[in-house]
Amino acid sequence: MVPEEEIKEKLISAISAYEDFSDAEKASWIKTLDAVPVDYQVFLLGLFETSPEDILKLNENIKAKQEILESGDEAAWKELLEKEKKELEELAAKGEEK
Amino acid sequence: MAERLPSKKENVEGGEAFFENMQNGERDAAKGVLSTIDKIPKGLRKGILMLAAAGTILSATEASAYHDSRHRNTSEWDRVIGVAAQVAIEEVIRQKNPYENRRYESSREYRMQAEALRQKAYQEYHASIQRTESYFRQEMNRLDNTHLPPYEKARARNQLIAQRNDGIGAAREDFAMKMRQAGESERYANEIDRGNRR
Repeated sequence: MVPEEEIKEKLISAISAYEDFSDAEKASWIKTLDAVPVDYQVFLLGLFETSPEDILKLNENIKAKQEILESGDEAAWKELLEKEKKELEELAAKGEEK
Repeated sequence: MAERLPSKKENVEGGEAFFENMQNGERDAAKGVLSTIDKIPKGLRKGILMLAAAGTILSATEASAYHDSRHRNTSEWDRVIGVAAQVAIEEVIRQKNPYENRRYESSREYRMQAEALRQKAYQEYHASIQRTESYFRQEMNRLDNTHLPPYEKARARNQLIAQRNDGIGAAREDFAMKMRQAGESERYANEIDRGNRR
């Protein structure tokens, strides 16, 4: 098996075994994997294995964005960007404290 | 096979191989993020990569296709997929990197100065033209109401017209000079942003 396939297989296994996902969410994640560059797949696999709680956050983020895209609410999108910016700033601040 | 993969630690915390590989990525969005990722403190990389990963997954969803069909060519929304983090990244880079921050502040000052000079140039030009025109009309009215011989009147009228033209010419020259100064300031800001000056 080539590395790309192996990564994808591992990721599919990790998604399938992830207890906090519904069956629909698992299917949705697996369905999109072909469109996710392999390096991001490696990153995601790392998250599943080392900090699965981040996968939940990621999923919430994706769902929030999906809803906004479907509604076409530009203001909500800008608000979400602002929220992401603040979260990154908080991360940056935490990094300074350490 | 597995040994060819970067370690988990590298993946999550930013191993160089991981980022190098990503720079050859297929997606523009990913490239956008990765072009600046190495400037970002390690503690932030995971957060940023999570947002970028969310973007790559999102771009493969029906919501993305739905959005794309509705919002194609709308500039504000063109930034949507996968680049969501980019805006935040740029801001964070400015805040986290003292040199970038200083450069940004510095170039911003010059841009603000350029803008102020342009505004001042427009305001002063219009004020000057209004003063000149107002004076010209007032003097022409006065001249019309005086009882001078026709030749004297015509000569005075020509003098007034010449004065008016001189006034307008001077206002234009002053305007051009201020706009040149503004242009210099703008060019200086560009030089700072290109890293040629601080």
